[in-house]
Amino acid sequence: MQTQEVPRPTSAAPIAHPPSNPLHTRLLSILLAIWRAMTLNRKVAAGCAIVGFFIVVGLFGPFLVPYNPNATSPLFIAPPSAAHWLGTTVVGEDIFSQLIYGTRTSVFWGLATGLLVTVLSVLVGLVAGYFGGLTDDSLTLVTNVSLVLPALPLAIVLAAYFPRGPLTISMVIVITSWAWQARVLRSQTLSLRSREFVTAARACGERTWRIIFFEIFPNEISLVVAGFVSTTIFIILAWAALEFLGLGDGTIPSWGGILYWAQQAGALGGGLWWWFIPPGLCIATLGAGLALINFGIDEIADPRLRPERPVKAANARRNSKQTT
Amino acid sequence: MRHVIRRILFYIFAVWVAITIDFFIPRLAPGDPVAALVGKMSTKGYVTPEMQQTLSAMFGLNTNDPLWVQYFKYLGNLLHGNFGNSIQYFPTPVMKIIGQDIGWSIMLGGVAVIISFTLGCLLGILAAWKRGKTLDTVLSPAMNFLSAIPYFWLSLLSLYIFSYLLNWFPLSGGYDSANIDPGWSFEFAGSVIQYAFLPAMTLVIASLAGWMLTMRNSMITTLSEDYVLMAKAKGLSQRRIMFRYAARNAVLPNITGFAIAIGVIVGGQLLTEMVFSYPGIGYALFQAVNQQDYAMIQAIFLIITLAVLGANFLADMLYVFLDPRVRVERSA
Amino acid sequence: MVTGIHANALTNTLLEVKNLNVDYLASNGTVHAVTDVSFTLQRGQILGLAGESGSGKSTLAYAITRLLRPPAMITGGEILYYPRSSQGRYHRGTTKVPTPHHSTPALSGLEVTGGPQGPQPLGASKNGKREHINGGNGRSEDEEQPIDLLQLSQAQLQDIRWDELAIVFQSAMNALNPVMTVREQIMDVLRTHRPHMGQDSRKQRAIELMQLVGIAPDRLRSYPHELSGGMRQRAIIAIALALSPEILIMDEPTTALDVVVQREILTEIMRLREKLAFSVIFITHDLSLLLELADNVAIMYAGRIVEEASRRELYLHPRHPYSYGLLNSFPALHGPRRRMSGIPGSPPDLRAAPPGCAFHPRCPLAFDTCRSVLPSLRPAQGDESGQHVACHLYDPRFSEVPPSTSDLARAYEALAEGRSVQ
Repeated sequence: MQTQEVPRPTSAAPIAHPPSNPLHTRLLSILLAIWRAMTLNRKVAAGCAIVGFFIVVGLFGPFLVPYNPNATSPLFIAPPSAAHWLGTTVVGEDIFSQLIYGTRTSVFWGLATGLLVTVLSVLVGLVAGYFGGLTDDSLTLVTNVSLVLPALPLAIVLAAYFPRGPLTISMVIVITSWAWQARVLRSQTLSLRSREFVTAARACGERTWRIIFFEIFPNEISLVVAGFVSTTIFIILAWAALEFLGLGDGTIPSWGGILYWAQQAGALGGGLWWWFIPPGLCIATLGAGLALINFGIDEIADPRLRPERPVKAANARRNSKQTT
Repeated sequence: MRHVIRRILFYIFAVWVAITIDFFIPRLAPGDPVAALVGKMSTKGYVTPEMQQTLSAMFGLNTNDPLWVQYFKYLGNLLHGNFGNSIQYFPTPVMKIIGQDIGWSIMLGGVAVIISFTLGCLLGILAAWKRGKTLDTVLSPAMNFLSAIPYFWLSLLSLYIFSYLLNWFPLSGGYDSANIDPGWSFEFAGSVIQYAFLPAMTLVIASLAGWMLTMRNSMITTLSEDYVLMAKAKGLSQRRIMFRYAARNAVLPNITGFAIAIGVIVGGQLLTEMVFSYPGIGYALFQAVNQQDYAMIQAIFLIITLAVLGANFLADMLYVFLDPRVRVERSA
Repeated sequence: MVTGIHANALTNTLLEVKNLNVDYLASNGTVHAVTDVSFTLQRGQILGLAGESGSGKSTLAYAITRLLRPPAMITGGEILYYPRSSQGRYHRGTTKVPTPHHSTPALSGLEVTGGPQGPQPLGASKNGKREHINGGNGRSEDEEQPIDLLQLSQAQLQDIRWDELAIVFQSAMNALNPVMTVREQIMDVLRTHRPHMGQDSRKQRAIELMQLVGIAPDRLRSYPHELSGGMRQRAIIAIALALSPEILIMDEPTTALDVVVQREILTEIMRLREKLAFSVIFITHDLSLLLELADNVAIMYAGRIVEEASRRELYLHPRHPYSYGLLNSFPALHGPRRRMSGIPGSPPDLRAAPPGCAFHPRCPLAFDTCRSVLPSLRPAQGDESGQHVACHLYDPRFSEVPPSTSDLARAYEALAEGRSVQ
């Protein structure tokens, strides 16, 4: 019998240990993962394209627009023409310019508020989930109450009393919409907290805030991103709604504001479709783009939801009998 | 049982928070709302000293009572159903006006919610069951898009298309007030339906997508559970598996979601009523905001909140009924 | 009457799996989960199916019951089920029965064992309970025509399911509908398959079943989460036995339970089998369990069966190096201390299994042929015990002297020491 070299037995199954790569490598891999996610899944790609479009318009649009959105002119309620692509308002302002400027306001205030809400809900959710006990109980109570109070009526009441303007609206929306995401993150944190890598980190003497933000939080990023997207959709809609009610600053152009003035001027009854249809369309499209991203993220996170694509060549070579 | 009691206590607490918020907001707002208000009202007519008194009283600015005394007076007033007098319709008490309007809102909202929830769940079940086939591939993306359309814009659009352009439905109102008197008659009922159809349809369409998509995703997850596989292994009929095993479990997230969604639904209804000038409390709120009728605003907020809390509570109880696992004391 | 080709069909064969292939069509490659698996299950026999995770044993179980979900597909083979004599067999009062099979295209490809009549119609009635099996005398003069389970239509499958073939899942908590009481989950099976049984008799049957597995009948009203782990597993077994099936497939039924409960459940299963005379395919990774429980054991590796033997033979003379490794990865309670070695390495990627014998990278006795030629399941050289093994070491064409058990032992010990000597 021949002597043979046989590889040494491999070690036992590896124990889970926290990532040890330096921060920039991890960040880079996260960014790469995001890019791959954005382009791999169709829904996410489409959604990102839409949102990206609006961001670009918001950034650069106002530089390319012919008129000042607040500039009045003698041309009242004119239908779309070469000079005014979307016609004019009742005081002769160019609607197209308003729409472009409005894009900047709506998109950026929307995203900024969304960011704020996300930060707040992450803080509350993670702290409540990690610490448990009285901290958790009280935070949960606050969260639940905030969840159960109807957002829009509360927002209306608050906005009615405080000085008009985007800052008020932003604050009001933050107050009324942080709770949902906080609750989701709390339950996720609760389940992660009992995992072994957290125990290991504690045993190593890692400081609490480091554990929360560098061990637990990275595992929840997909949830946070999905939450950010959902919240932003809600924020954009709520913002438009509040503006539409006249609770915003009427002088700053925004999509909801355009609709407010349209309603005030009786655009509906007057059949001035070019006034009230474009802003709504923008809101709907941006919302749809964000919703697509969200559903795409759902699909990435839960493979069961992914569309079942037919497998190509393998089928052709199979036997005739194929059953499940 | 303990779970039920805890929920009841929670809702009582939430009501208290809402009431307290309602009390404090006007007192915390910057500036002097009374002066601004008086100034505004003076342009419309003479402001009597009584009206000024009411305003000040409303904001708690004319009494020398300490804050907590005001608070208890406020609570006492609430318990008696006294929300103060409306400013727009001075001196009519707010409750009287709300009482007229709330019936319309409940009817519109109730019908719309029931239809959209039921229809949404059924569509969701079908889409998940026939996943990947035509129904699903067409419906799901369509619903995706639909779910992002703002309520009020959908209302504007449908109002424009169906009322203005096509003239199929009236532009505003709850019934044909010019020709028909309210009462238990077919004419009245018919008129009510005609006026309510468009806003109801808008509400249903706007909220349908949410239910359907959540149900679909929940169903898809449930269909991959072992007990569904076992049901199949048992040789049970497709229908039984779909409803009794899969849907019955998959609907649970929708019911919890219902509780949360009610807030959104109510918001949506407010906006829809405003657009359609439908005589519900949404429209009343709109007018109150426009006219800065603070008493109205506060009262309507409270009423809406109480209604939402009530609906939430009902949804909670329904969930307990449907999911036996909740009835047991759960360890953390 | 006597079908010459399959003489043993007349004696005792209940289920015959022939060259079964199951693939998972994933986007990054086709995983051959089960490749060319054939085995036979006799009436009243307990067949144990052992293997590591990923060896394909659960996939095999699901394939037999046709519960595979996409992207899993059965890509070849037959699963022949030999029902009892057609009279006194099934109870069918519903209109679900398809018309005689010669007109049903689904069965046109049926493997018939030579009888001139063609397949038997599933049309006659069966008693609710069954008589005890006694050897082979229970057979009537009717011909035994097997049914290819893979050819059945959904409706026919629904009829057979649970009535003839039941499956006990691994996790009872997941397999029970959380929003239905135990009683409802028993009753709906009875309602579907025994529509003429009255409500009262169904309730009675439910109580009987609970008593059969040793659960107090008042627990019928409980929901699954209100039962302990052991009780849930018993409940699942009770539901499985509701229609007195011929074959019970048990997919790791005790893996999730502690050893004490495990013992109870296993004792229960054996007792029930004595009483009700069904056959069992018992799937587990725990070989020591099978040595106590099963009559015959089949060991799977990388989607193929590598050894098949009676339990006694397997225990005394494990032939395949993998079997030896498995058996000896548990330390004995008694006996001298010795160095243990597990089986080094890990199971192969089933999308691209290594050429030749799939086990050769890990085998302490592998030689050249093992790397290139696929071994087939054949009787071990010079062995009349009925033991089959798929290993070149026992193939007279490649190996002169088959290794003895002590040879295998030495090879593994050498592995544990760090080198290998053949």
